[in-house]
Amino acid sequence: MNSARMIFKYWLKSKKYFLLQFIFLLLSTIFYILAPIFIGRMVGALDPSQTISTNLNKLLISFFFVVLFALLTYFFNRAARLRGAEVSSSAIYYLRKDINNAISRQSFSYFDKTETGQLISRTTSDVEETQQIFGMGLTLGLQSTLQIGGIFIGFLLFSIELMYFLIIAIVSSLILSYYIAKKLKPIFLETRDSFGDLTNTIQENIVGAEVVRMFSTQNKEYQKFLKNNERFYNASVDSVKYNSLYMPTIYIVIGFMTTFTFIIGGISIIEGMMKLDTLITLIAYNAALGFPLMMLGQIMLVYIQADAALTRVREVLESAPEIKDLPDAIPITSLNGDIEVDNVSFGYTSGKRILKDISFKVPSGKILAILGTTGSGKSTIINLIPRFYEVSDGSIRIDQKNIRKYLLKDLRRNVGIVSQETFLFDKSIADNIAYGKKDATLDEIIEAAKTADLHNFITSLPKGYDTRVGERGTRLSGGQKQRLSIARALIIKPKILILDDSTSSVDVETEYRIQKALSKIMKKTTSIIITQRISTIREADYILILDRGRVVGFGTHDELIKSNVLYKQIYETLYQKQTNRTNYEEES
Amino acid sequence: MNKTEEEPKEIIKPNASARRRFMFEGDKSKLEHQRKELWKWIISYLKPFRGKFSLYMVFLLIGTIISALSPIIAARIIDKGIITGDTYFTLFLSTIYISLILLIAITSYISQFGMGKISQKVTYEIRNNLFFKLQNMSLSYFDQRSSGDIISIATNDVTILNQLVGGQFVQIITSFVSIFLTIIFMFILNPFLALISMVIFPLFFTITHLFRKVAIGFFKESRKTIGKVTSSIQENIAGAKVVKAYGQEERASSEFDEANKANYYAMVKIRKYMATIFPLISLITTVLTAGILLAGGFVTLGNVSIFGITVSVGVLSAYITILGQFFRPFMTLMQIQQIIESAMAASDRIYTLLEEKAEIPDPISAKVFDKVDGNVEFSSVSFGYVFDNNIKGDSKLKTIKPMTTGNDSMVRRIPSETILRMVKLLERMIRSKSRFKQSGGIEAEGRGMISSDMSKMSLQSILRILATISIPPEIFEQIPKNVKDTINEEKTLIQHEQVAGFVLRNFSLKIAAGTTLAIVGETGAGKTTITKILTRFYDINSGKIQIDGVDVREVTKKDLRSLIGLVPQDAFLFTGTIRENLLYAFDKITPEIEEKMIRVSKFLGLHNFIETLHKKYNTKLKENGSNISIGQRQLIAFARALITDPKILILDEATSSVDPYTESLIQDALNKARKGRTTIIIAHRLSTIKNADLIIVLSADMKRIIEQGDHESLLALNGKYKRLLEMQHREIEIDN
Repeated sequence: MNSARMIFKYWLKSKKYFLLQFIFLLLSTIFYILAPIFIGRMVGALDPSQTISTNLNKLLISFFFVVLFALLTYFFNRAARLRGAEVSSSAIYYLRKDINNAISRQSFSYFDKTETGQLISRTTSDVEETQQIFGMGLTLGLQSTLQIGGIFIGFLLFSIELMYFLIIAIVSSLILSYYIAKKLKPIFLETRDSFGDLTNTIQENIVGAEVVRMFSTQNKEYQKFLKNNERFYNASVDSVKYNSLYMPTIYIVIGFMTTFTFIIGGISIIEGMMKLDTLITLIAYNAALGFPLMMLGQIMLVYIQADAALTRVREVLESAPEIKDLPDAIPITSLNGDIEVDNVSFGYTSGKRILKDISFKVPSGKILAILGTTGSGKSTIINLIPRFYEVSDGSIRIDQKNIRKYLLKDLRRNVGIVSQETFLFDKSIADNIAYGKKDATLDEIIEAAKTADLHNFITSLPKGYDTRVGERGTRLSGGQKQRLSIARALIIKPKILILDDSTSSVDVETEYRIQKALSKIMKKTTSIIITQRISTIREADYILILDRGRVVGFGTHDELIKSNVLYKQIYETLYQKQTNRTNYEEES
Repeated sequence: MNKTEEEPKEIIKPNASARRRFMFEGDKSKLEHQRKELWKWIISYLKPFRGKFSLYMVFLLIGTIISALSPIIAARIIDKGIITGDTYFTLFLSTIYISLILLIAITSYISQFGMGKISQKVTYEIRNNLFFKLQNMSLSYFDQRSSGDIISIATNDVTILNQLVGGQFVQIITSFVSIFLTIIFMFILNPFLALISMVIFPLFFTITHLFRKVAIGFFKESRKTIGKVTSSIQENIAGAKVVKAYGQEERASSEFDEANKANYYAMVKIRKYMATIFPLISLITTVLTAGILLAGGFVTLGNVSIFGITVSVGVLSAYITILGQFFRPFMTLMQIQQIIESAMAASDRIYTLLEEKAEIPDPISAKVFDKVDGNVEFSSVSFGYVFDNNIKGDSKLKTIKPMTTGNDSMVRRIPSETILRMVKLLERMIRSKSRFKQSGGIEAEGRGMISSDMSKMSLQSILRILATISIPPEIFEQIPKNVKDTINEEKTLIQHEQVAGFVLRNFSLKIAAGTTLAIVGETGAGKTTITKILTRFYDINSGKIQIDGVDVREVTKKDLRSLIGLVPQDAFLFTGTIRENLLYAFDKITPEIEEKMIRVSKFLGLHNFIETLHKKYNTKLKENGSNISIGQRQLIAFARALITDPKILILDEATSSVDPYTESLIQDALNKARKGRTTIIIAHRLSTIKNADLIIVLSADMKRIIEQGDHESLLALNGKYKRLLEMQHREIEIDN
């Protein structure tokens, strides 16, 4: 799809208004073209060869018509623009809606691949850049085209010879506009690019001011900036160069048209082939030609600018989601929570496997602890269970059924996952906790908060559960955010609970309380916990040790400590590290 | 328009709506500078282009004059050529007509392009100056403002100024000339018709007034709604994974839809309003034209001669053309106020930034370090961010709220004689102080005059009292000038302290070369501040800091900072490759340096990670290294500092949770790196603190060191250190 088709597609979202707008514009143009005829007649009424009363009649009648047509033009033009307001505003509305839907359709991998900042700019500033083409492009584009057409018909009626000149004038000005617009396209892109780089350099020198000063690299940065500033300057001058061509082009086209009208019309009058009225009408037409020609040129330019933005927007709109429901996906009514991972391999990109042949089983109600170094694939494996990513090979079964067979939404509603990165919404604490359960009662919210050991903190806040967490949770500490996301996961009463190192920022005592509270819940759910804490490992029914994407140990603590060298090592290091801490705490 | 709320320093892209935010700003805004001064400043940038600028101006005026004149020529063609049947004259004048049009086209192209080029050059210069300024700005400047605001000055505001210089400034002049000339020509053509045409003025005024008045409100509303749309979609993107994990896509969409709909309604409202206003121009023009023709017709047909002038066909046709174009310069002039207002506000912000005091320059005859061992000594250093020498003192003071200490009951209790007595004592003290240069024997001198308890008070405490109570004006007048000044000074000082006050007070500390110092203390105790004053990001208010006996203020900042390797809390990385970031300190990259880069990376355990990346050292880092983990970012920042072989190493440990694996990497790296270096660590983790040669505990309340020693001795103290360690793994409940 190209941008022009896309623009029309969104305009036509409100077909009725679009059609009405067109009809009203057509009517307004007709009256707009008729008025100069009567203006011409008014001047023609000064003809000394006629009687005064004839002339006076002609003058008054023509005046009446001019005013009438002006009023009708206003009325229909306004009517058309009112419809146009609906059409263009709803075009933007639907475009935004589609973008938002496209985003909410995407799978996790999409957000890994696409930079957040870029995605945001595509959905906000890029859309804003298309506002003009959707608005001005519509009303003024249609109106200008119709007016030029009307003027053309006018010339056709009054002077065939001048009509040929008009064709030349219109065509040449459109070609010139097109030429300018085409020249401006790469310049426009360069302006945008260099401006972006320019802004980025400024930004980095503000945010990274300390680093720049520390290394005394002011000069280096200044040179970098200078280069971008020069690029931007050159591109801007180029753009001024071509932009400045528009007005003179129109002057010349209209100037020639008027001159020819004087010459050809004048000679015709002198030879008695044309009336003075007509000449005046034609001169008025010429004057009316400038604005629509100019507008069409501008619209071409606006289109070219919007084209770049629309192309980027389309990339978002057209990217297909990777993970979808199967056509015969089944809903989940109740779940036991038996998890079986069978020979699973996975890679974010097709070339590199992060997980290789992973197999393990966790029966309903049991706890699995996963151990491993950074990059061993711990977080990856838990992301496969709620189908955030699709396995590359092998299968994952819950209650003996491949997870692909379930409705995605149902599957995810039964899995409570607390990931490392805790994103909170710019809502109240209560709303954040109840995020996955819209109809949660306050009691449920409090219960979840209590389990996550957050209730006391929340009640200590002046607004309690109604306290708004700042955007991205800025007003809460890391540990509080973690606890809040634990509560958020608990409130949906998941059959499968996954905790990804989710108490890393919580102090030992609190962690202990949370664990105690959780252990009650964990009896009823299957739990998978990624952790570094000895106490958690000891409580787990099974332990899975990962190393570079492979399972290097699986079993109970007692089994592993005897048979698995790696486990023994890890356990001992962790033990030492943590007793260091606890020893000290005992001292105090 | 100036954001008052503090924003975190984060990457904020100026978006399209911000770019337009000044367009409909409305009425006169408060400016920091006089308009005259701002104009002078703008014009100073145009000075180098004086010649060209005047030339283009002349061209423009020629174009304007000709285009105002062309309807008269057209009238001549009709009257003298066509109506009289003179073919030759018609052709002759038509040729002149088209030549003039061509002349307009050429002059308008040259002048538009030329003016555009000048204004681009001007804004290019302004941007350069702005950037240069920012590079020399003291860090406190960035502390007080959000980066988004500063960026907006350097980009959006400069763009607005560009519009003024490049187009609108000139358009304003030509519009005036055009309107002026057109009116004159109208009167020359026919004064009677010209008079009637003047009806257009009130009509156009009404339209533009209507438009402005209502549109400003509408635009504000639409900006608000678009802001909501943006933040909603931002949240949906940033929190996409959570939305999905909880299967809340529908809800997220419906929330977005609400914001989107509100924006839709606002937009429709604006567009509908415009739909009513804009076609009015055409209506007025046409009806007025018809009116003129009618009047002209009556005059001619009735053979009435007003002012002895008759109306010709040519004149009427000239009026048709003139009235058809009249509204254009009008529209421009109607927007003048807005244009100038927004440009003035923009230049005001730019000019304010450019006028801001820069960092304290290096001493003229700077000392040079020869061989540095790395002995660091702080001697009774006091520092507070509000006292910073770089802040524009006056403007800061104005914002401080009046003191509330002088409550009425207090005043009543202190009789005016007592106040006067205190003043007298104070005066004496000040005088004797300046005589003896010390405050030793003053008390004895003052005794006898005043009650014994008051005589025990020090100069400082009397001053305090006088500065905190509200002295009735009639008494205040009696106070001698030098005392008055001292009291006022003290008042200012108190106000400063009330706002933020000292972060460090009388801070003294010696760090021997090659040893490791660990700094602990709660948030706000001034841990990071110590590193910032050592690197002279901020200058201290009193005392001195020496490295190997040399005051840090006596050497150039460049020299000083080249001694120090700083790994800040939030490791900032630049857009570019990992290699570029690691070798950031170097201008020229030699094979030896590259070798060293790899050596250091291996040393820090960073090399293995980099090798796993697709493009290894040439992997591009996105904005602020967002495509690698925090721990990795920190390791890169660590390596970047180590490559320069700093004599002094400062490590501000990140509080954010780094995974245990990376944590131990950083830990091991640090233990290796600190050999042979003076190392200052702001520590949060026990393992780091334990190995330090010296540990100091800072207190946020006392603004100084409250405990120092090594780990064992501090534990034995059973004081703050021990308590802090206990809390170490507990959360600081509310960050701010």
